[in-house]
Formats: sequence, structure tokens, C-alpha cells
Amino acid sequence: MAVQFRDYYEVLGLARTASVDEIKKAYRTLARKYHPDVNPGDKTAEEKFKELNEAYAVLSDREKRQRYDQLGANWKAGSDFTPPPGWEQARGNYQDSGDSFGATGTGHGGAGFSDFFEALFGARRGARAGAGFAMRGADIEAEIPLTLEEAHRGVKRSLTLQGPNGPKTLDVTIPAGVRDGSVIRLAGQGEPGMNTAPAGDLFLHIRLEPHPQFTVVGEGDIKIDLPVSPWEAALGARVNAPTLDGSVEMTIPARAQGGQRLGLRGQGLKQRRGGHGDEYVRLMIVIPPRLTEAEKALFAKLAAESRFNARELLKGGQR
Amino acid sequence: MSEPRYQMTLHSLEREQVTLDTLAASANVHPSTVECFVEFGLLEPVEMTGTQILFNADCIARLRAIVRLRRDLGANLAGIAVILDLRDRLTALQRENAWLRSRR
Repeated sequence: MAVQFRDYYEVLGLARTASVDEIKKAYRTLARKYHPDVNPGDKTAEEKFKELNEAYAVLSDREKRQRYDQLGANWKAGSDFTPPPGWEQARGNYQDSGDSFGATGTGHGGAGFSDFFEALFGARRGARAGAGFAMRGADIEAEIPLTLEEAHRGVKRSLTLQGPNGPKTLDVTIPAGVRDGSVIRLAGQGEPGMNTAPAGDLFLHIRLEPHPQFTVVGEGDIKIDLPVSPWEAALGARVNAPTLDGSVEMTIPARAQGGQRLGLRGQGLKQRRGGHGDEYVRLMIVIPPRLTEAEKALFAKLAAESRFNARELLKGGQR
Repeated sequence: MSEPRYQMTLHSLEREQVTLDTLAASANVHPSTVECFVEFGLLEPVEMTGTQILFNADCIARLRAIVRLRRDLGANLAGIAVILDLRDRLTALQRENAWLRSRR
């Protein structure tokens, strides 16, 4: 079977003459950079880290490095590789040294090494099994972004996961009342374990997306900035205020001020244990972006008529 | 061949909580190791009532990450604390960034 040649020196960015110390240093530097726990959600970093571990497992082991070096310097990474004649007999009893730094696998997705490694040094999996090695499958962390409305009403989400027998789909029903930051653990739904080890867990992180109109306050209250016209604020009015379920009619009292807060009881998020939070409406007095001549004239008339000096309401009195 | 589908309803929306022993077992470490991580502020229990110490289930993923960082990078506890804090901030920023980009 042809496998792809791997240039372990290239992976670690080293010359073939690199010393043991140089190899260790290069590995540590790159391991820090590509460790999957330092690169959340980055699949290429995870792949890179696996390659690094494999390269380090070979080059940090005197015997394995010697055997690898026997192949010569003419192989190019990625080219089809068949072990030279006589290689099979020399394979011998490969036992992993169990080096605690790196070579023990990462716990991130199939810790097995490449076919190339196995062609050279025998199946690691087999050697491991002999030593009673079993490794728990990796955890999967998935984020479920929900809109406020979905969290309020409950929602169904389909997640496709890689299982041992190919992909599988989970149809997850999320009932009303979830909150941002809720973590739901589905034990054993992570990646499969090696040998007889248990599978990892699946962690679903509920993330509430920012809403264009509503902000969540505390446990289940929401607030919204509601624009009202100057005359609605001055004279009072019945207006429609948006809610998570549509809209409700509310009363703007006469002489309402900009920034004033009005409560809509029970119009907040649905609570886990039943009931609802409240909605808070903050009034924003807005002027029509374009005024007709008639409107302009009316405002001018008001300006001439009114004795009101807005600066009287300056906080801390007028200067 | 179509993918197998599984239906599930999440009833237990209360954050799942695990005991110190369960948490330790989930990452194959001794409970006293977990206690040490708690003292160092790497893991935060939600409840400490008498002898019972309870953790949120997401501490399982965090504990496993701590174990990996120690094993793979040889990082010490102070280093791991910094790594995890920075990672949390990075994730938050990535999320915010993705959201801001999606609005353009």
C-alpha cells in the first residue's frame, strides 16, 4: 500500500542535522502555538498539532530517528512512499516509550498516527493495545446560537456529529426558557474512544445572539428603546410597542419625558419555571427627519407661544 | 444511505451539576488534584455545602483541558490559568467579531 511520505524535519522546521535540544525546543515552541486548547475551534491547528506530535515521537526517539534517517534525504513530503526492501524484517517489536511530553497523544480526535508512521514503525494502535492503553474520546463543544425569540418560544435544532460509524444527526428540542451561557452536557455523545475507552461528551453551549431591538436584563427581563414623537410625548398617546410575541398597545402618559421608563408586566422572556419576565420601555423623543412646511410653521408657532426654557431642567440647576 | 437521526428533548435545562468525585473521575485524576485546582482558582464550584462540593457540568471540559495543557505543554498552574482566561476572552472576541461582520 502506498502511503504519503512525511518530512518530519520540515514539520518541526528543522535541518536534518538538528540536535536533540533543537528538536525539543522546536517541538515545544510549535506545540504551544498549535495546541488545540489554545486554538479553540481551529481544525487546522488541531491537524498541525497531530503532525507535530508524530514528528516529535519519531525525532525525539534515538532509535526511531535513526530508522527514519536511513530513508535518506531525497523524499519529498506528500510523495508516494513504499518502505524499502528489507524494511519489514527490521520492524521488530515496536513499543512506544510512553514519553509523557507530547507523545502520549492529545485527547483530541483520533490520536492515531499517520499511515506513513505505521508503515515505518508498525501500528501504534496495536502496540498501545498490548500495553493496555485506552484513551477516552475527545469532547465536542458545540455552540447553539439562538435568537431571543427562539429562546423565548423554544426551538428545534439539528446537529450533525461525526460518530464512529459516520455522521449522525441529533434533532435537539430546546424548550422555552433557556438562557445565555446555559451548558448542556450529553454524556457519551462526543468522539469515540480508542480501544475500549469511553466516548467523550458533547457540550452544548447556548448562546443568545444580540437582538436588534431588545436587550436582556437580569434573569428574564428585556428592555427596548421606543421612539415617540414630541406631540405623543406631550399630549399622551396609545402606541404599539414591540414585544417578543408581536406587539402590545401601551399608554404613553401626557407630558412623558425622553428617557422615561415604562414597564410592561409579563412581556419579558418566558421563565424556566413558568411565568414571564417584564419588558421595560425607554421613551426616545424623536423629531421627524424631514419637516414639511406646515410642520415647520407649527413648530415655529409653538416656539413663539411657549414660555418653556428647556435649560431649566439642567441637572444641578442652571449656571 | 441516509444518516441515522436521533431525537432528543432537553428537559434538564437546569445546569447539570456534578460532585467533586464525579468531576475528578471524568478526567481520570484524583479528587485531591481537583481540590488543588479549585484552590488555585482554575475551577470554580457553584456550591460548597458542608462536605459537598458541586460544579457546573462545563467544568468537566475545563478540567480535561487543564489536564491536557499540563501534559502536552508542561504548563504550570499559573500558566494554565492565564491560557484559559485568554482563551475565554479570545472566544468572546471571535464571537463578537463574527456577529459584527454578519451585520455588514
